[in-house]
Amino acid sequence: MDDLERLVARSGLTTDEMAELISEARAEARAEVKAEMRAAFARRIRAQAGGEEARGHDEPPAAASDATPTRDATPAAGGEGDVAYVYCVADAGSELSGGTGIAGAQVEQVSAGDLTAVVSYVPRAEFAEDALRRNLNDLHWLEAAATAHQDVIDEASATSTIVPLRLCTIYNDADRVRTMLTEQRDRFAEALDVLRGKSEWGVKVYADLAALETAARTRLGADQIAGSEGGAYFARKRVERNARDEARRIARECVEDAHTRFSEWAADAVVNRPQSRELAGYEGEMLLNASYLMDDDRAPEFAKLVRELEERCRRDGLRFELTGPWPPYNFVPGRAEAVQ
Amino acid sequence: MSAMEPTGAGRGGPLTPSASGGQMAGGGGSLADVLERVLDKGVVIAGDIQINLLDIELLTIKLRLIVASVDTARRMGINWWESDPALSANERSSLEDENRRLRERLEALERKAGLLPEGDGTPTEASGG
Repeated sequence: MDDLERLVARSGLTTDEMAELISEARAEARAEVKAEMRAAFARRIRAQAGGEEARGHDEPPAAASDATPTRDATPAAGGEGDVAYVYCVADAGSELSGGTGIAGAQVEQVSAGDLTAVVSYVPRAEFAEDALRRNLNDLHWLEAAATAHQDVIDEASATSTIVPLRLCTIYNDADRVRTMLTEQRDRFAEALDVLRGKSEWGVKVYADLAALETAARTRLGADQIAGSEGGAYFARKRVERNARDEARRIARECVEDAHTRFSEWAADAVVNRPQSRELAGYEGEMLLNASYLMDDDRAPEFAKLVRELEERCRRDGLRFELTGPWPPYNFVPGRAEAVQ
Repeated sequence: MSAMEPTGAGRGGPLTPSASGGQMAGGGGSLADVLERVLDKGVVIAGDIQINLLDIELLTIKLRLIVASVDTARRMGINWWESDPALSANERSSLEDENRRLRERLEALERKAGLLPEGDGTPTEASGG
């Protein structure tokens, strides 16, 4: 326990906060281990199932059944051994510039009915289940794929309303993409209606904790310390004790006020978990990581509002960051409900 | 996101007016911004190549865990994302389960210690959030 106490003293956290952290860490560690075990089990089971399938199946896979992946089908378009990677879906006839996608492949459209899918062909060897699983857990590969995915969708959303798909949605060939478009037609049409004329904007709020506490101390102490000698000593003590609470109050108020006002401007709002510092590489503490779905004609006013609030909160050590316009990833209907 | 930083090491840019038309544009996103969206959001449909979604979820959970231990926002009481239904159902339900089990044990103990009358201990408060 000595170690823990030294840690508590050094960290500036109270014992309660430390205990809370420990219990959170324990719960999260358990979830992580569980997830890893789950993945390991899943791989094992799949490996066994795959072995049996290879021994037992001679007849060609049923093309009509969408539940069973038709692994051995020959692609109808794209090179032999290529598969169709789908980035997003738009109204048929949308003006979509071509450009290149993952691994520099030409981006094309595959249409069915009143919908069109933005696709490119990628090598099956790199995107088949086993390779893909390995690749997704390689941060460099993931970064290249994620960036290319986002770039294609971003390009498309600059000129058209689109529904973004999750990374690595892949079909054997263009025919299978058409089948998917037909089957999912209503879902996509509804999503396109909701998202038409809107974009997503991200707002983050960061705190410089030292500056925040200094601001809190100033607010608390300015009038109290100006007393008698003895009074000043106790006032300073009190200020120290209260500064941390005051800092929290200031930060919470600022962030809540900002989110409330942004939400009033937005068609929809989602609050996400603060990002990993290692990955995002920011300074200070991320207090808010939110996305807002905004009518495009309101975007300039919204940006102004963000700047206004930032100016007001800056003296308290808070910094705002606006990113966008993003394709509406966070607002695809049927996903997370808005957090108000 | 034309101003995407390919390295992802940096932050999104500051608020800058775009060159054309007086329209305001935000900064480009970081790699974290992109991953958060392309891995975790967007339409999910089963493709022909079944990437086990668990593998992606596993990865996002890992990315999330890097922050979770130093979660200042949560300590400041700004933890609204915890009510976000998009949070992995597994992560959530395991915590909820644990919560419920602990509550039941507490009640059993209280009853044993004579703090609660027999039979009047049905948990009514909903867990979560």
